[in-house]
Amino acid sequence: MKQPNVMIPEAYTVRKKSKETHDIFSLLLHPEKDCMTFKPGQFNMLYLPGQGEVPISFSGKNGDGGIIHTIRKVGSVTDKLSLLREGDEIGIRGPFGRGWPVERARDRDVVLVAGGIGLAPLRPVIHEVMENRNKYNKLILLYGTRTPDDILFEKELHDWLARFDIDVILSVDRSVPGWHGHAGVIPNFIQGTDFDPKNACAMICGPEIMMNFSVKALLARGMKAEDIYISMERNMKCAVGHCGHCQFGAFFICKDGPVFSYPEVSGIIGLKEI
Amino acid sequence: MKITEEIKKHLLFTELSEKDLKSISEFSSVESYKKDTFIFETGHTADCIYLITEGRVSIEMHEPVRGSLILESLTKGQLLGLSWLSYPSHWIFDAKCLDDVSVIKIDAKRLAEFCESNHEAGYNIMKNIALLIRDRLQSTRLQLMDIYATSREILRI
Repeated sequence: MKQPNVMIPEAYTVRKKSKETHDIFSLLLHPEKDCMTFKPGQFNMLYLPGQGEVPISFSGKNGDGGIIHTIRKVGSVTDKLSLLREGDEIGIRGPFGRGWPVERARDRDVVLVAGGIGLAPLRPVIHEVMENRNKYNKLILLYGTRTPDDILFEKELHDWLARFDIDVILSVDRSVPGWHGHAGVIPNFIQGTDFDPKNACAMICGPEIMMNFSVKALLARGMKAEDIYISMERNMKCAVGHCGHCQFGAFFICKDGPVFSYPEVSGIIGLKEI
Repeated sequence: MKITEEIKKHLLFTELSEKDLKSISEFSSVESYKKDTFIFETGHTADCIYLITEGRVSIEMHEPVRGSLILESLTKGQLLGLSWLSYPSHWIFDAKCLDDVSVIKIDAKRLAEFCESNHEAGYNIMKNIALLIRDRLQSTRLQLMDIYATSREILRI
């Protein structure tokens, strides 16, 4: 059978567009040909003809062969993607990269630490654990955002908060009048969270500084470094480790990552030169 | 709840002897507060230190135009109240219970006297307080950095 060319985008149609926050939106996309299977933590290259390509993680799927990407408006391509309407077409290459260690997390407590739009790549992990709930121990989500207006997937978060099989700790860096939830940076809440550090798997996604402090807090709780995973972000272009744009020390984030175990990158994360 | 056992677990009192822990427990008590009540309020005398053993507490500040704003929230295992360090002093924030809350309340004046009379234990306590303040300073710096801003927002383009 002829292998598909990973450099050629496949056509996908926007079936639904949802506004998540003032600058974040989700697209439900359906293929014209074959359905795509992916692992939580992997990403696609979304191509808008005449504008360019951007790497975007999967944030979910529907049961009908559709995939969901949650996108923040951070530049010209994502600005244009935000203007898409239902029925419009885009090109997609993927899926690429190494995802979250959902298999390794089985029979352990699963600790997810998300910051800002970092919740989107972790959402498929939550779905995976919930769909196979008896294969995992505790499920804990620590989610930090800038303000209450920046909270992603608000309806789904309410559903999770109402469940007994997931602990959700939601905190904002800056509160507003009327906010009655937590305030403060999310790594601070790791200390008081109830999980077994000797039998847990932590997955962290968010700004690099937030990930650094979260790792420190998890290590202080007694977790082993090899049980902590982080998702790195750099300027990805080819997505297959050829162009070198996303080189990170000895790694290419697009091919070797974006998910790394902490020991793999602990010597280079946070270095100015990298 | 046995106070000596509870305070022994807290970072503030690591490296203290059983005798020192027992001395501190003599001027400590277990207190409970209902949700939405205040543990302390701005302007009142800061004469206690609290170790949260259950529930969540928000550190709030009231501003006439915006009303009450939550600056930080604290949970089980964390220390509440540092204004007593410059005893006698007054609270500069409100501490409001977000849930039903249990704390160990320690008499700050007597803790300060204990530290004065027992320099080795006092040094350990103050060293641990310095670590807690360092952590709070780091957190405040992170909050000020606005780490969730996009580069476009930072550069205002």
